[in-house]
Amino acid sequence: MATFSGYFKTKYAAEKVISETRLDRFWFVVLWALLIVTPFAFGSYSLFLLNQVMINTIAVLGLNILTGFTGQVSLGNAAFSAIGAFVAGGLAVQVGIPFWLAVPVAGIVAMGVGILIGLPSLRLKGLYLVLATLALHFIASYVLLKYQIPNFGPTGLKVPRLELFSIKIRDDGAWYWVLMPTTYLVVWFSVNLIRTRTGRAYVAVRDNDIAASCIGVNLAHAKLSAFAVSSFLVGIAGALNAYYVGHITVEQYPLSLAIDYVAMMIVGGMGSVVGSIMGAVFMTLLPYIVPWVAGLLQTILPFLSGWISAHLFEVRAGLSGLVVMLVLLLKPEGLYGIWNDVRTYFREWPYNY
Amino acid sequence: MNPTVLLQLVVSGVAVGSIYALVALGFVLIYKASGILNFAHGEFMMASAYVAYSLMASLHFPFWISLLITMAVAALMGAVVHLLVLRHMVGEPLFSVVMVTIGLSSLMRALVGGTYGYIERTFPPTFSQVPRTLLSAKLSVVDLAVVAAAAVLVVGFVIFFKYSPLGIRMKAAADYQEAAVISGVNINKVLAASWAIASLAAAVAGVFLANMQVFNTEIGSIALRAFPAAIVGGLDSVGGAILGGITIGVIEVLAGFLFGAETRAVASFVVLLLVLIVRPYGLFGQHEVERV
Repeated sequence: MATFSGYFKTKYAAEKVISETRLDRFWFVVLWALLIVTPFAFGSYSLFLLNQVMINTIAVLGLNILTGFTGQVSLGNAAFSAIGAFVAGGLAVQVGIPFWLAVPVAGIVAMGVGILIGLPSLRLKGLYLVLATLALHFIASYVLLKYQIPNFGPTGLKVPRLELFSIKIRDDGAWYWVLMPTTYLVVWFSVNLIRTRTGRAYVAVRDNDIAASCIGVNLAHAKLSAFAVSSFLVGIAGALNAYYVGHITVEQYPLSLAIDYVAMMIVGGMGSVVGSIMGAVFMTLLPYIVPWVAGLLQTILPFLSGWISAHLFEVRAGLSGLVVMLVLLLKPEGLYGIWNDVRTYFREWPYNY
Repeated sequence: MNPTVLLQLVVSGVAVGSIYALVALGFVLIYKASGILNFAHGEFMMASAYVAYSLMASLHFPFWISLLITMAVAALMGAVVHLLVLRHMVGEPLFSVVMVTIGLSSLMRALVGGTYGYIERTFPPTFSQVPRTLLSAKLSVVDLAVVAAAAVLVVGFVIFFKYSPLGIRMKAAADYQEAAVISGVNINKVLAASWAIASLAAAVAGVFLANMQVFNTEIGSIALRAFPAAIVGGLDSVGGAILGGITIGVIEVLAGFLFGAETRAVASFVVLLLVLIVRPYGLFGQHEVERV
């Protein structure tokens, strides 16, 4: 994948490097500089949004490994997220296990459930798999509710405040330093996973699983490990969210959350790590943009602005559905596809034909 | 459990199951025609319930007239949705098409919610509240009406698919799409018709369901619980949908009685998962043979 026209690889080693040009490496340094400056440059509200974006990014990247890379469709993400949250919260409250242990354990439990639900995927495809994961969602919600009500009552459980190395993590600025490295690690893992033998096996399974098994891909291994990795990451996102929000109930993980994650992945661009991040950013911020747009329209179109303010809930809910539909109808490659088009346009200008 | 209680439970299970059967029928019709699952089916039910409610509460139409008008409106709505949206998704990956219908469902919920609000409403009373007695089991009139309406609709569908030219074309297209197109079947028209008919079934289910209980914009979530019905029967079997719907209805009511009301919803999903593990293509569905 040459970034510049006229840039061709002449050595096999060149195929393996992750940043291909000096410009790539330059942007990488800029990215790190931005990541470090961000918490000092932004106010607490922006950081609150950013932290939400990062938690969602982890979950969407997990989902992207399963659906985007491996092509196994799933509506069970909210269930994995809830399992992660309740395992971490339950361990923290009832056993007193610290954060750094509770979160990985939550991920591993979610991973176990993921492998379990992955087993039918060896026989099921397409819509039948969607429905199997849908069944998992409702069964998991029921089981977690059975755990929540007798132990913590209908108001749910309060997760203790996070304390790392005897530093109390209270405000969004401190949380940024917990979430940013975690998100970075997950992004790094996703980018590299797809470059490994396993990652390529995933893509082969997505494109045609029967053909993949004919060229020697172990289908059971590929599908189950994709389920495992994906549910581990989604479970971790759920556990982090539990600590971040500080309070969890089963109602916080409805089916619509699973649908939101899928929507983020699709809007960003299925099967692309950058796209997943873009989708998580866009769809997380969309509900917050609506009142801001209404404010902008106040002078130009007061009627429309008033209508949006009066129907904020409906506009938000309807808009996310509309965005998903429009993306799928007009640009199935998502935001990443648009970004690629723009980049190609400028790179090849003025000979873009 | 004495026989009277059992009979009572089975009878109310059949009434609930008739709704599921109608919903599952809608899933199967669209699945057979286009190979996709319509996640907005519940929202078609919900929108239809509100249309019928408006006709009755605001315009004071009688129930049966409102039901017929609503069926026509729903059929139109289904065809329009196909022509505006789903027509452009032919050939896209399966999950994308499913996500389009999910997006459509949140859009429809927002539109109806914005128009009617979210308060719980009740239909103007139509059905007598005095239950009838059959073999010592008590039957509410609305339950009987649901079973009757479902039966009439199913018989109507059977006649339609067997004798009407459009119905025969639809069957042909579902059977072997390419061959049907070559023989002169207008596939676009056939798909629009299947969306219209599925929405019509959704309208009947939605209106009767809203008459059985209070309703708000969340009433369509019942459609998710009809997925097990469609799967148990097999996604591509019309007869299976009816049988699956009634089976799931009876299982839900029995589970609710035996293990407490909150197990009702989850029982059908346990059945769904078991069926998928044991017989992935349903009891009456056809195993797909795939070529690389």
